Amino acid sequence: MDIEHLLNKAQSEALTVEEQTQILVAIGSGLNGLRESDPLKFLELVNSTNESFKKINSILRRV
Amino acid sequence: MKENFQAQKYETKPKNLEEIEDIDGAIEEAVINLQESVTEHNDLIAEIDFDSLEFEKYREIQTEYESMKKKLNSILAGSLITGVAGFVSGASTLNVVDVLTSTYTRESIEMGAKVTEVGLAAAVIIAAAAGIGHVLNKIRAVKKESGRVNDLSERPV
Repeated sequence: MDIEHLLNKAQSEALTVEEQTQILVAIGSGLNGLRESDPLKFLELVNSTNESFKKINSILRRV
Repeated sequence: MKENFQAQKYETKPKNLEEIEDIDGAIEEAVINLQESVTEHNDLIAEIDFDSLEFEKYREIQTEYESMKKKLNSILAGSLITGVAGFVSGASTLNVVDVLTSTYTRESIEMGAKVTEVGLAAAVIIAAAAGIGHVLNKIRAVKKESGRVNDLSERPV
């Protein structure tokens, strides 16, 4: 599976559903691999992402 | 060099995290919290009329979204390098969030992430990234149509 090729292709032309799925699975596998190899780092990423969303939501509530 | 920077970016662990005993439980709870934040975000976005936003608010929101996109892109590109697809040497130079949002609709990503083997935690992060990308695209579209400027220094007096 050449994900790099698919990522490059996606920036210039449409991908098939199968190719889109390959990218999703590759990114997901990377994230899952990170969770297994370094769960603390993964937890930090999830919490950090959540903090960013809370900040954005706070701004949006004041709009 | 850039790949190394991306891969090492999250190596520092906060001291309080090192003391967590039930790491799986902590991750599960964190993912649920993130899901709730993303759901609230989607609800808030659905209510906002970007066309009538005041300039300062508009600028504040765009700045925050650009920052969020940068962070999520770093996470996703970094995961491609450090995870199973570690052979992807050029991933850090690719804008994964843009690839996701230009290739998929937010709905297709949420659905696709659920039905593939990515796991709930990964699916939530991927869907979150796609959501941010789609809102940014919406902001840019409004800016283009209305002729709004991106830089405060360019704001008409």
